[in-house]
Amino acid sequence: MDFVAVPDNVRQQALERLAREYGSALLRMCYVYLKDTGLAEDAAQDTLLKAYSSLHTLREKQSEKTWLMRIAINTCRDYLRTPWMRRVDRRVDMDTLPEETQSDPLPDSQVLDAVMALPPKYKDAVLLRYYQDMKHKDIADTLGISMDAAKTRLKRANEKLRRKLEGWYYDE
Amino acid sequence: MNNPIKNAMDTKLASLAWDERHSRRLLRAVQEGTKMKKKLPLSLAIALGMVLIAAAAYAALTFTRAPQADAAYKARQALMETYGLSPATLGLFYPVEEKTDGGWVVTFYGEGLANGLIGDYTVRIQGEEAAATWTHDSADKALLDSGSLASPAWGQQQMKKALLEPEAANQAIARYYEEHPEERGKPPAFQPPQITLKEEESYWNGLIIQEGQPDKKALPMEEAQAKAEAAIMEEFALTKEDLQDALVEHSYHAVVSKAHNPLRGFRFFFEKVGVNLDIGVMMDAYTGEIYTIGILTGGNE
Repeated sequence: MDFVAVPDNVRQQALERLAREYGSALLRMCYVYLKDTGLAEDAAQDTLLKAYSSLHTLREKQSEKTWLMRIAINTCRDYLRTPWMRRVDRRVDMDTLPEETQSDPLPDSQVLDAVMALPPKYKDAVLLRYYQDMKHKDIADTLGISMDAAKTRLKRANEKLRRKLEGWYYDE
Repeated sequence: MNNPIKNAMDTKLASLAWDERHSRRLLRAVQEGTKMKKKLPLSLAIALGMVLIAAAAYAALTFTRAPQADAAYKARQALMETYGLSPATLGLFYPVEEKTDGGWVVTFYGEGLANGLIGDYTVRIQGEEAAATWTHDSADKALLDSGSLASPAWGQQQMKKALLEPEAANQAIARYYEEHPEERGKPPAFQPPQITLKEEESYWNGLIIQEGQPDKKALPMEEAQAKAEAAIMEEFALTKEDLQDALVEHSYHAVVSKAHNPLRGFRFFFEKVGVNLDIGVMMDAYTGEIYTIGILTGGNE
C-alpha cells in the first residue's frame, strides 16, 4: 500500500488547513451525534488530532474529506459508547440550543430534532449526503459499506424524515 | 439547492464555529504531544520502559478495592456462580451499591433488551457471604436452560443468544410487547440522574468528574493500567489473552469531589464471544485503589 511520507512541519501545516476548512463542519456534525457543545468540541479536536497522527495513512488518491469524516464518525461512536454517555439522559431541549443568527421561515429546530433522532446508521448517511454533500460512492467509502447499502440507508432515512417533516421536506 | 438539513444545521448551529480558541487549543495539544516525544532519548526510554514493565508486573499483583467496589465485585461473583452470567450479560445491567447495617445490597438493574424479560438481580452481602436473587427466580428452569427466546423470562442462555442474534431478539421482544402492552414504554426501575454538565465535565456512576493533568503524586500510567487490567481480569474471570486485543484509553480526573482523591480512568474495548465489551475502571490516582468498575455490552455490530 502506498502511503504519503509527511514531515512534522508539513503535517502541522496540513493540520491547520484541515482545521480551517473542516473545523466548523466537524463541530456541527459532532454536535448532532453527541448533543453537547463541550463534547462536540472535544470530539472535533480528537478527530483532527487523530488525523494529524495518521496523516501517513492518507493515500494520495483517497478523498481527504471522506477520510476525515470517517475518523469523525468513529470518534463520535467511541464517545457514545462511554458509560457516562449511555447513563446520562442527553435528550436535547431545543430551546437550549444556540440562538439562530438569522430568521428563517423553515422550522430548523424540527429538522435538526428529526435528524438527531435518527438511528445512528441512518444519521451517518443523512449527514454525509445532505450536510457534507457527498456522493453515494463517497458515503459508501466513508462508512465502509457497499454503494447499494449506502443508497438503501439513505432511502430509509429519507422515508423516516419524510414522515416526520411532512409537507415541506426536500427530496431528491 | 434547497437543502433543509444543511440549512437547518448551518442556521441553528451557526454559533458552533471553529475559531481561534479552537485552533490554539488544538495546536497546544499537538505541541505538548510533540514535546514529550522529543524530550526522551532512546536509551532513557528503554531504561524507563524496563523499570515500568517491572513496576507494572509488581503492581498487577497488588491492588485493593474501595468498599463499594468490593461489594460490586462480590455481587458479580455471586451472579456468575448462581446464575451463570458472563461478562457480556453482566454488561446488560447497571449496578447500584447501597450500604446497609453491616453489609451491602447491590441491585443490578436491567438496562438492555427488555427489562420485563431480563428482570433485575439483587445481591445481599454480609461479610464474605453473598446471596443473589432474581426477579424471575420462579421461572421454568427447563425453558430457561433451553435458551428459547419464547421464554417469558430471559436468563443467561436467552441473553447470550439475543446478543449474538439481534434480529431474532428484536422479533421476540416485539412479540413480548404485543402480549404485554403495559410493559412498552414503562420507565426503567433505575432512573439515571438528570444532570446538566458544565463544559469539561463528565459523568461516571454518580460522580461528576473533570479531566485534568496528573500531578507528581499520581501513579504512573503504566502501573495504574496494570492494576486496572488485574482488577478486571479478576472481576470478570478474563484472561490476558482476552485482553490482548483490547483498545485501551486512559484519562486523569483532577476534580471529582472533596471526598475523593483524583481518579485515573481506563476503558478497555474488546470482543468476547462475538460481543463488543466496554469495561471502565476508575481508581484513586494516588493509591491505585479501585474505586469502581463498569461494564457495558456494545452489541455485536
